[in-house]
Amino acid sequence: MKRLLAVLLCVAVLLGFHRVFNAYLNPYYLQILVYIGINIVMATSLNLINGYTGQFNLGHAGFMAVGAYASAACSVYAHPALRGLLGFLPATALDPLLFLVSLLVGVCAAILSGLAIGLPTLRLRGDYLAIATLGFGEIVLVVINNMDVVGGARGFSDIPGYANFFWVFLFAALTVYVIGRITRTAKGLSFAAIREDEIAALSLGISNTRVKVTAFVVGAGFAGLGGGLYAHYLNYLHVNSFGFLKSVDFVVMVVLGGMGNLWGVVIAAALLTMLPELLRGFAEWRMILYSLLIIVTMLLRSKGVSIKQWVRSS
Amino acid sequence: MTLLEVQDCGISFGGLKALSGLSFSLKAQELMAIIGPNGAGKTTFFNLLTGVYVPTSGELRFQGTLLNPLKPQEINRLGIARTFQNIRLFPDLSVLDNVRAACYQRVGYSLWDAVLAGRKFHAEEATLAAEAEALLERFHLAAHRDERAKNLAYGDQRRLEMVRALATRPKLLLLDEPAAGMNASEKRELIDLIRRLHEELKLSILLIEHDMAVVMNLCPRILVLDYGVPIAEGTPEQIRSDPKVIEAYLGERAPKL
Repeated sequence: MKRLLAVLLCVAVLLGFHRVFNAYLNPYYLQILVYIGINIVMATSLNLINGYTGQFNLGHAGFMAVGAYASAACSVYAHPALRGLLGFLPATALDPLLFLVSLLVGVCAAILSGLAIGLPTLRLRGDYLAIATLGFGEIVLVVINNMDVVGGARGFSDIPGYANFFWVFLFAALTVYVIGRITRTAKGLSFAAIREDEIAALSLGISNTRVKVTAFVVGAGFAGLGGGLYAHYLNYLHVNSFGFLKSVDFVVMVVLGGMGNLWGVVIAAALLTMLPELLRGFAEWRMILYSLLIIVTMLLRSKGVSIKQWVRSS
Repeated sequence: MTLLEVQDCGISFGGLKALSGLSFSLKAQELMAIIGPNGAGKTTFFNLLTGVYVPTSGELRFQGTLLNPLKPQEINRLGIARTFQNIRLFPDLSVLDNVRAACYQRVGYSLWDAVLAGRKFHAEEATLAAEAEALLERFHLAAHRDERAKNLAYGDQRRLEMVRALATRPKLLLLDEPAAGMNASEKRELIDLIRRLHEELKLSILLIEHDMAVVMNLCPRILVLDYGVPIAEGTPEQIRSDPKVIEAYLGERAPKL
């Protein structure tokens, strides 16, 4: 009962913000806000894999691309038929329903790709796993680039624009809730146990393969969700948006926010989405600034940004 | 009742026989020590027993189950838990979370249940937390429950590692040099602690130790290894006067002139 009230309250607040922002906020700022939401989904899901479980996934944009293209394909190709089938529903209920179906398709596709990459490569450690996942990300792009049904190198256009501020932040909240919740439970502590000491974890009956595959599957699933939101917000997809540098962006968010630090990564995702906008004037310096930021964080605070500490020190 | 049965067990790495021809059996609720000079193969034996290495010869059986083909996590599920010579805690997790993490295999809810946060999940989570707290209380670590494991004092870290192993509810506990690096009073506490584990929890304990005071005080039965081969087995008195053991530790007696 209490939980239901909390969910309803959350939805109501988000709807309120949604109305207010749509009416009064400059569309440019609104767009940045939406990107912040999507990046929170991406960074938090990568945090489960890289931060909590300590695996080095350098192909997170690949999972995002799989989710984005699969859900977009569902919207473009399957929705006309579904609309015919469910024509009796009013438009206000039909559109969200179809959107959720598309997102679900994207999530499932990303989970399958997570399993496909997870099962064979999880014997790899550290740098080797990073290279394998990086390879996965590149393969996804090459495949999509050569698939004519999703536009290939021309890009995938005319995707219905279901996503908006409300949906993006609803799912961002869901992502943060789910990952924050599971990593705190006795069972979910196995993610951190694998990161902290794999041999000790094994000696305590924790199955390393199972935990790592779970981390990859859940992480990839939420990345697919982020991709689906992105596709239906932008109405257009192109493989260039999911390149290697995109994966690096997400890794930077996790490192800067602090590996395994739930809220730190959320804050870092928000800051690093705004930063390039603030630095529009000298965009080519962005990567240098990112690198410097990482070096400085590593030197000063290897645990990332922490709200608790800010509160305590101020 | 025989708990552990070791038959002609051995392992070689390339040409090096790290351990060979080891046979003994351990009864339920027995307390036994394995001693021997450095490099005698004691920790190697623990690694064989816990599935880190696979023996190249012989058989290991725990309550009748053949351990040779099993993975470490499967062996733990059968009821064997261990500590490590160089402490292996989860350093960045809190003391309580170190113990909670060890409850993994007993957890009945799935991660779905955790997300939905139903009554069953909360009840089980509360039971596990209470169990972990009770264990910490019993071994005088409750005051440190929220500290990071890496910030504990050395002796407390050793004790936490034992508590964490106990949280998996083992029948057989393997302790790899529990007294290493401890001072005299810490050693006395340790002896009490191991005795309590053995008596109160009815645990069988195998322990590797260099410290003779600890071994002779604690263990009614001792096995001596040297260069990967068992050279003696018996009570502390027998071991103390065994010429082979004396030779292994002190070298050969000087020839009479």
